[in-house]
Amino acid sequence: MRKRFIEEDTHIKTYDSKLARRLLQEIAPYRRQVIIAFVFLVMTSLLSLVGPYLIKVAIDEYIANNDMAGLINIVIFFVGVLLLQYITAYIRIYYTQYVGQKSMYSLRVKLFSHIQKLPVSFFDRNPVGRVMTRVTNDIEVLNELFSAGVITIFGDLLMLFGIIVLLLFLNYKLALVAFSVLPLLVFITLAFRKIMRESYRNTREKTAKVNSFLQENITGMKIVQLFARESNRHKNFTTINEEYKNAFFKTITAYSLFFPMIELLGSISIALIIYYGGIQLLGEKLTLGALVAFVEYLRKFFVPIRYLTEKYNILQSAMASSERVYKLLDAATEEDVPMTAESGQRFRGEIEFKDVSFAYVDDEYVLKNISFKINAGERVAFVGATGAGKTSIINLISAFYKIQKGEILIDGRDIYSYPKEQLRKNLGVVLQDVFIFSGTILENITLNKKGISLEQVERACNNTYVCDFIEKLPKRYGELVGERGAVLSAGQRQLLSFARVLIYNPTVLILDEATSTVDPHTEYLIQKATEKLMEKRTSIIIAHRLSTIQNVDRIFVFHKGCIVEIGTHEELYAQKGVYYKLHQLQYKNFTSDVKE
Amino acid sequence: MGNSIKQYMKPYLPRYAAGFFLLILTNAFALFVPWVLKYAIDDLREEVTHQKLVLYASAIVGATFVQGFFRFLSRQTLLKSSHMIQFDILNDYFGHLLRLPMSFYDKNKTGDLISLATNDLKSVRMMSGVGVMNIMNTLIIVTLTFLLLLMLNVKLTVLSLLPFPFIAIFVKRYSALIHKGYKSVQEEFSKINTKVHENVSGIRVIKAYTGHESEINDFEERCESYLTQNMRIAKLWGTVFPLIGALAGIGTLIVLWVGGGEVIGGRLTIGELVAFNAYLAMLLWPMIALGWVLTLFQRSKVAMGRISRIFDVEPEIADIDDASDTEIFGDIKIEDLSFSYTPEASLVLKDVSFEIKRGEKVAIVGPTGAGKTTLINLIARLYKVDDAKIFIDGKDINSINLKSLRQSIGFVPQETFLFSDTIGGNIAFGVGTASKEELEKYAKISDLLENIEEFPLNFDTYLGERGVNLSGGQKQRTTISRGIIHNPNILILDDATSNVDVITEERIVSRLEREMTGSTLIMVSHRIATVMSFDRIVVIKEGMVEAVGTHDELIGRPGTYKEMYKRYLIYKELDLREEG
Repeated sequence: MRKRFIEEDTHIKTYDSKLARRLLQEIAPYRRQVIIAFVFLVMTSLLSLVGPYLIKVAIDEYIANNDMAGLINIVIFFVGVLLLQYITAYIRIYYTQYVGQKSMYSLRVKLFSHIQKLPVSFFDRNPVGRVMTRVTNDIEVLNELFSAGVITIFGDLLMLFGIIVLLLFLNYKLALVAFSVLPLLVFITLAFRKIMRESYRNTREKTAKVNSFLQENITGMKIVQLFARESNRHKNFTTINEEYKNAFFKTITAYSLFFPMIELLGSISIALIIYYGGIQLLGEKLTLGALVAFVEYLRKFFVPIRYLTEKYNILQSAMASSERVYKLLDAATEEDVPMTAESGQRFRGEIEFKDVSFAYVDDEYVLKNISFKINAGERVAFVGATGAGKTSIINLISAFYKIQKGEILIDGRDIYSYPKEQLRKNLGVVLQDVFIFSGTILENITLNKKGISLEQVERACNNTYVCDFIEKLPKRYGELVGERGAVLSAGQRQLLSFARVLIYNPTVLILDEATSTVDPHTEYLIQKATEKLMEKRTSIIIAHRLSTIQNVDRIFVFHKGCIVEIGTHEELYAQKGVYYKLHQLQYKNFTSDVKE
Repeated sequence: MGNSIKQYMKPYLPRYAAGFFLLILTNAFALFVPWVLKYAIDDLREEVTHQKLVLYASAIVGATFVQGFFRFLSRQTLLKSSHMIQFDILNDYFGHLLRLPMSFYDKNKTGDLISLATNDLKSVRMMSGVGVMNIMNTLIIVTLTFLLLLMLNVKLTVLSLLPFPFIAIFVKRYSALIHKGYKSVQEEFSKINTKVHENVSGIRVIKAYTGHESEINDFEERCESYLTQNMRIAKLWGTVFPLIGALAGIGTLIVLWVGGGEVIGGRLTIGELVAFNAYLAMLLWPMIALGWVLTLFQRSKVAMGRISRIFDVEPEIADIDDASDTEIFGDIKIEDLSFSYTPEASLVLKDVSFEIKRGEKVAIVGPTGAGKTTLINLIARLYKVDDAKIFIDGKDINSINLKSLRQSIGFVPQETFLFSDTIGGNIAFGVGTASKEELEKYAKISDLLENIEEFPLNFDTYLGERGVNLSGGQKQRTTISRGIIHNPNILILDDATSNVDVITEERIVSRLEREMTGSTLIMVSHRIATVMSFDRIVVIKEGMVEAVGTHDELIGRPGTYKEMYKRYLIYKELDLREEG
């Protein structure tokens, strides 16, 4: 679905010079093509003015003098003009499209790259749909501005100007008479521009209102029906629908008045030519051919004026879109330090938290004065009730967020002093909800990275016990998964994400175990694969499974944002403290699918 | 309720007829102008008087004025019709949606339903307005102009119209290509869309695996094929679009060549030549627009087909004929109730039977996914239930008037959906309007009043983007107030206090018990602390009733409830909330 339903703001700025300058910068690299497009635009416009002049010559010099041979010469010349016009128009269209498409391509890629660098907290605040609209629809609107709007406005204005000059040149007195309606034309156009801007804004507003009403009431349909408010809602909708209709009625009326008015002015102009031209002709100051040419030119003059206001609307929406696009481009990126020669080094994998406090918002602390040290190669498990702060630790070790207090050290160095790329290349994170991208199994394991051989992938899948499943798929590693592909079970997804990690070969493994229940066989495979993953790595497991807990060196017990107990399973169990109780909660009876 | 475009256009047939008639008048006067021009020019060549010039000039202005008048009326008549049709369809569409049951909304995405009301309906509107107007206009202009051209000169007419069929064939072939091209552009565009959607949704994974570079590369590739497709279209456009200009040129060319010859041969006057050229120019645009209009008709047919599919869905929950308004007291009896969301899906509820007397406080507990929410959704008849499975006050639920049933139920669902209205408007949702005293009373029961008094405009404070953002707990408490303001005889709370702290929760429950005396209270909960004091507790596990009894009875025997109670004790020791 292409259109966004709820416009974020229906208020549109007409023209913003700062925005316009930034937009012009986007086409700056294509200066050469812009010039070509412009030259050919001028040529097309000028060539379209040749026709009426040729008619004049034909009438005055050949038809009036019964010169058939001369007439044929004019006709041949005209054929040439038409051909040239056709070619120039082709080149103009090609190059304007080229500039528009190319520059929007760059802008789109630039925007997408920028999004990759935004901090995770940005995505907490901005819904996916909004970010998506910027990259897709808003840039599409700008594209339209380049390919249809601005350039043709130039062409139209150029033609209008050309006609004025030509008529003055042909017969300046008559031209002045013909253009005596111009002030009125300007006045009417300006007046209507105002009305149309107003009604355009109004229709957009009312459209947004209908859309958001539908959005809200379809989403809340359960509430509407539960409270038996159907007739009331329908009545409200009828009112909004009526407003929507009336907004368009106004626009229709405005255009219905505007078009005939322009036409009327055009014919007043032609009538004046007939009258004054007739008098001049009688006084032999004007030829018949020139009079005919005048009439033809005036006809050409009034056509583009009708459409100028419509193009003005394109300009308006483009301004609104560019404002949104640039706002996103201006959003601050994740703080980072540049990669250096030694950034390629692998970590030893020692992690230390020193008195760390952290809050996602204001001072609602989810971690309070946490201190611990995990040695290189050690295996630890984090346990605790929901909301105890375990997942926040993952986010912090990945440097997705900044801490408010304390220090996080990896191999004895502050975590924020490492380039993000180095840091994350050393971390292998498995999130609780495995995200599957639409694409093939292979792409989901390699995450589209080049230079990973199928053999490597196969080995990883073998080690994580997901190959049996993949081998059974008709297209094996080429099988499509995700939105339009095969549906994977929770267990298969986890195993797939394990393969991701193995390929990635990190120094530190951080695994947030999924809580979803899987069948006993898959459960067994997950256990074995987890063992493989932990081999020769510093491993942090956020544990929901008893089996993993028994295989780790130490268990950290989280409680309300603090670490309250540390020790092995046996030690903690014997303590009969928080761990003992949590253990009873999590592993007795209720999680009957877990085998001890 | 209809579902074909013809049906919706039918009431406006008189308008369309009037529009057609007005268009004939419009064009008649429009075609009058070149005819005047013909006389003027021919007269100018011979001899002309001052009076005659004035006459011609005023005839041109007069004709254009009258033409403009009719043009105005015809546009008003025809274009407004299309918006009236859109209004009708949209109204029926929403009205229909209101009657469709929840099972429909489980299957259809909100986005798709809105897209039908916007994008697809727009195609229908364009067709019934601009489309119809253009078709009529083309028909009239082509007929009238053709007659006039023949009247002027038969030979010239035949010759000058000669290129039209060739160009029509050429344009048709190319527009097929362009249409195909646009389809691939659309496909490429939706690939970009999907890419961005997935990238942003999975940004944490991408960041964690430093996948941004390959993501950018992949995105670039997609944008590049989008670019290539667009440039292919640009080339096609570049070939076809200048033809419009060229076509006009070719017409003039033939007029000049053949017509000039005719003038020289004395078979045509210069005035006639000029008029001929003008008429030919008038033919051009309607012919070009025809292709566009035809695609418009095709597209609107497809669009209306999609909209009709929604209209064709029968509301499966509707009142039977003799369902009358009845007062409901709140005795509920469930007998051998089994339920699945779709015929193919497995059963969510299996042979559930139990009874609730009016005024009783009953809790429904059990593990996640046991079918608790489904059960209470069925009591509110949000899904279709088989006959003789659920009885309210001894009557089969399917025979009770839907409105009476739902107005007797106060339902507080799990999801805290609120409308973008004032907080007062949200609380009074079920009753329309409520006095300040009422609002205060019910806000107090759900322990919300103090929060509201802190808001700048009290109950008139807007929620959402335009106003304050409520916390999860505040939202839940708002939905509780909303669920009780109409003083329902049956109050159903579906885990409605999960975001409220324990002390507040206790306060709310005890206030509910005090204020809603006489009402049946059904509460789905995960927490022993909340349900301990209830008259009866129904334990649901894997879609079946495991046990029914009081707290004391249930902890006395092994089973799910006893396990939950043990867990509750540990949570209490740990000073933690119970988890679902």
